[in-house]
Amino acid sequence: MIKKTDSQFNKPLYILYPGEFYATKEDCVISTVLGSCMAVCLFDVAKRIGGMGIFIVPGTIGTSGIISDAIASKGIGDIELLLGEIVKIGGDRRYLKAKIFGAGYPADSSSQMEQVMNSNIKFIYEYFTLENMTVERSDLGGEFRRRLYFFPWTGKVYRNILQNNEESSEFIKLEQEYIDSEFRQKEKFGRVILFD
Amino acid sequence: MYERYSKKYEKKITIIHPGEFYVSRNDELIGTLLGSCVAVCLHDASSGLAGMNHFMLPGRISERDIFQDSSAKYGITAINELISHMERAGAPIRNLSAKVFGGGHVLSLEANSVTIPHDNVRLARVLLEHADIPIVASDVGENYTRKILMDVKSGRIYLKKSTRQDVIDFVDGREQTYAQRLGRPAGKAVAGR
Repeated sequence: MIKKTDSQFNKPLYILYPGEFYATKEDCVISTVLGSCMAVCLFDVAKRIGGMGIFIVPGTIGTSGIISDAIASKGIGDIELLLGEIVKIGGDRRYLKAKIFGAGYPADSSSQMEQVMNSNIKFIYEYFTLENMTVERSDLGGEFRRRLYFFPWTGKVYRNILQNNEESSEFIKLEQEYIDSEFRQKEKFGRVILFD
Repeated sequence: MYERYSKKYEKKITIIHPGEFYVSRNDELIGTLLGSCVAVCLHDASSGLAGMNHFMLPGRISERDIFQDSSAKYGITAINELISHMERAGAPIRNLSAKVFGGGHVLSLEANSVTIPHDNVRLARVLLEHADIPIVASDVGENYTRKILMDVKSGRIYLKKSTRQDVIDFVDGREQTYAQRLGRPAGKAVAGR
């Protein structure tokens, strides 16, 4: 995460890297560039609290639902981290709304990667249905990189599609490093055990 | 920053030092000498405006906590200033194209000398991509010092790579002093990790 003190919005601007999350009460702008990762923007307009998290679910998810799936629990954990951060600074989980973006294919992706992306998209919808949270806007899939500007106070999101630097994108490189490390670590996350 | 006249190119040359930047629309050359520092060269072909900066981060950027880490701000400020001066001088952001040079592994810092140049380059590329400025050429990394001259009118770069020891020593000394002037010895940020 890097911080720019001046931006075109006259507010501090935070640029998040893949795998990071940030929640704040401050009047600022949270920004990122997305390729294959997903960004979840959660916000509480009444309390002026919002946060953004960038993550990926490393693998395809089975048909048995996301609660009992070992790989999906990794994604749930990532969103819970962001949720926890928002609750910690005073947000109320019941009034949170969500906007979700990302999960595009890289231009030269394999069919396995496309499966992972599709499974990610399925996961995120299933998760928010399960959590009973309103998804106000979503923009998922596609073969391009998105730049997001997220205003945590109002929940407004500006999305641009980047035109330049297709071949040598640094964000895609950062993402690839993150995705690789996530895929390596996925054995660490076991199944969720439910105690009845 | 100082100016001199080059007989070879028959033009004025403006040399910039670490931490400086220069924007111009005259028929001249902008030059600098890079070790582990990075120079971002911006050019607007339609208005013939060009600018160059020269920056380095005095330490490694810690991944999680920017509030305790002041390393990245020098690079961010350097690139911001250059872009906003270009805009003010009359080159809109959508017309700009960028070239990135430098980041050679030449400094005699501690074991982290690999990561600091790498972070310098990465920061430049991330910020340029975030502003959606195309990076049309770049020559970074490896064990070279680089002398670059930029022709303001055409935006062309003359690049000379060198591994001569006296050049490396000179650049090394200068960048160490610059890093110290930024308020912390080079490479100190690593100790906390």
